[in-house]
Amino acid sequence: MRPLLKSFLHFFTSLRLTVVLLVLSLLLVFFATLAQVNLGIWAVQTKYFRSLFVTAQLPGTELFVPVFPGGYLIGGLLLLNLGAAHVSRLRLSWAKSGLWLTHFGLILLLLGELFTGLWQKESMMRLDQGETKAYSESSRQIELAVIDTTDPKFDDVVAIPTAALEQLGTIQHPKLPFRIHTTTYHQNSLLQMRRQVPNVPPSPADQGFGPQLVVTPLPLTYKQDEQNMPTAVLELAGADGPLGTWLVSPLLTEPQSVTVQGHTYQLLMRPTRHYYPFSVTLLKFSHDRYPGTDIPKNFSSRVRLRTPDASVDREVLIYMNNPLRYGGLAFYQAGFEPNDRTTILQVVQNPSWLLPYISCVLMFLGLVIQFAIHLTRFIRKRTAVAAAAATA
Amino acid sequence: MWIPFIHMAPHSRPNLILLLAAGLLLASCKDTKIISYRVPKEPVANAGATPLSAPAPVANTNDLPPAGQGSPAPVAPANDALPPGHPAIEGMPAPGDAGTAMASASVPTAASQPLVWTAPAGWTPKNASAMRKGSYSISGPEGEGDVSITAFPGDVGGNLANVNRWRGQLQLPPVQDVTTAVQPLEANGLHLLVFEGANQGTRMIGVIVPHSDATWFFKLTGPDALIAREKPAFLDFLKTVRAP
Repeated sequence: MRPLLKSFLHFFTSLRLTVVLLVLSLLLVFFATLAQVNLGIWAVQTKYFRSLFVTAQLPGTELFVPVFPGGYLIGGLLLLNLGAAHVSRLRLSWAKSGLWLTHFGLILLLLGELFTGLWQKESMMRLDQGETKAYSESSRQIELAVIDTTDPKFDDVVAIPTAALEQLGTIQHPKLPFRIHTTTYHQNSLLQMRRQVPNVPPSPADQGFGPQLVVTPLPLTYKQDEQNMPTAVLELAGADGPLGTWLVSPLLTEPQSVTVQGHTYQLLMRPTRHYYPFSVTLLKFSHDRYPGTDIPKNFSSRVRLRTPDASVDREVLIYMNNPLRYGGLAFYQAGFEPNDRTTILQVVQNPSWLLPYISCVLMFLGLVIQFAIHLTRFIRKRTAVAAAAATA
Repeated sequence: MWIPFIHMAPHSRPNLILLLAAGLLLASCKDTKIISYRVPKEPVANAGATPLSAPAPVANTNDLPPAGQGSPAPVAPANDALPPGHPAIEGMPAPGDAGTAMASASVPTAASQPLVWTAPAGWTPKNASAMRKGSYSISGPEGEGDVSITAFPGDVGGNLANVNRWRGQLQLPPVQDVTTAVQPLEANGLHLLVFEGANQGTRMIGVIVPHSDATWFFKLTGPDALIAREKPAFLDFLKTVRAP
């Protein structure tokens, strides 16, 4: 073996690397836990765990420099370390099958977290009793929905993520007879009625609610119970020239309309929607309390799951730790409104949700097998010694 | 077999890992993809962005001081310029609040069938919070007293549990029989139960009002002397409580 390759293999197969990586991950978890105080859980997950490096801003500059390995780097190196150690040290034999299984389970666990980070999508479905929905809504992402409401039966929606508006460019979509040019974008903002804030410059918007409102940009919030409220100023221009300037924000819950070429379009900034090929109806939400007290005992939602072709039409009871799993999605009982008639279901799409379960079973089996192999070997050796002693 | 690693200096290995993981970075980039789809129209009641459409502030006459009593009226949000039915913009709760997390599950307040009342002129209205239907402060040379009005669905554990909760707040031992601990009072067809207790310089008058499918609590707490002096005014105030 060439010396460089040998030193490379030696580095990646060393137990020392494993220990260093485990210590680093301990420190990462510790610092990330502290950072939650200021950043909140979502920002911490992105910054500390779903990144290669934890970066920090150099004081006085816009430059971010890596200061600590992130979760992906530590996890990736651990994976490499484990894989390399396996290949170079462990021979494939029955005697080692337990170790193989355990390590394979561990590798699967690491990969499972990686896939979850990459693929998992979470959203919320809020249903009043009797209400039916075929979509869930993101709790953190916002979109600009441009809805052609001309058809009496259907809405044609063009959904533009705020990340596209943030770039302040011009958006031209084949389904829209106008261009959308974003002139201003605030990631978080406050809206006030103009007459409550005297002496402010005139609104950039000249259509819809915009002229009556004053936008105050706010710093981004990382608190778990707060949400950033973006605001954008949009200039719309059709083939015949400008159509006007609109102010859009999720704080404006009523849509604003523009009519172009005989079609009416609604502009609505709202939580990003995910539509599904089935619908969920809330039949009943129950909030059980312990008798004689106001202490919650159980929350449950009886829902009806239906597909348009009626091939699926069934009632399901969703309660704590007992989600409805359908179509690659899991609907968890996540919350409710104080009126006790509205349920909030968390909708989780995670194609790799089974991996942690499989890996736990594999690791359990592996450890049991390894223990059993050692035990039988030990018993055999002892009987042999005893037999030898008897004949001696 | 050609292995690219061996051509690299040892110190550049992390760069290689960076390269290997570049795909991961790309996958986590912000999504700017615009999509289009066709959906059936929603029923009108359901239109709009539901999770963000925080409920419009409920008009609660109780928060306004009675007319002609000289207290400054709270400024109502001037949302008449917005279309009818549009929620007020200013002071709207963050939509993150829309929906109660299970953690705060034990504090849903009763929304149905309100009660109204007329507060004495000397009480200063405070902002009602999510928990409080009404809130006033009473000032005197002895200190400050607090009037809180809350409502919860159901019987909130029953009268005995509520009285013992209040006794616990005063660091008094619990009682076994609720009938000896409270005085009944009738007001405008409502059956009120008045509890009074004092300990270590603090006095509390707590009133339980079962109404509709909820229980309302009117509670006056503060320095012993102030509350004892304010008691007749508080009892008079209780007689103004009624269903609208």
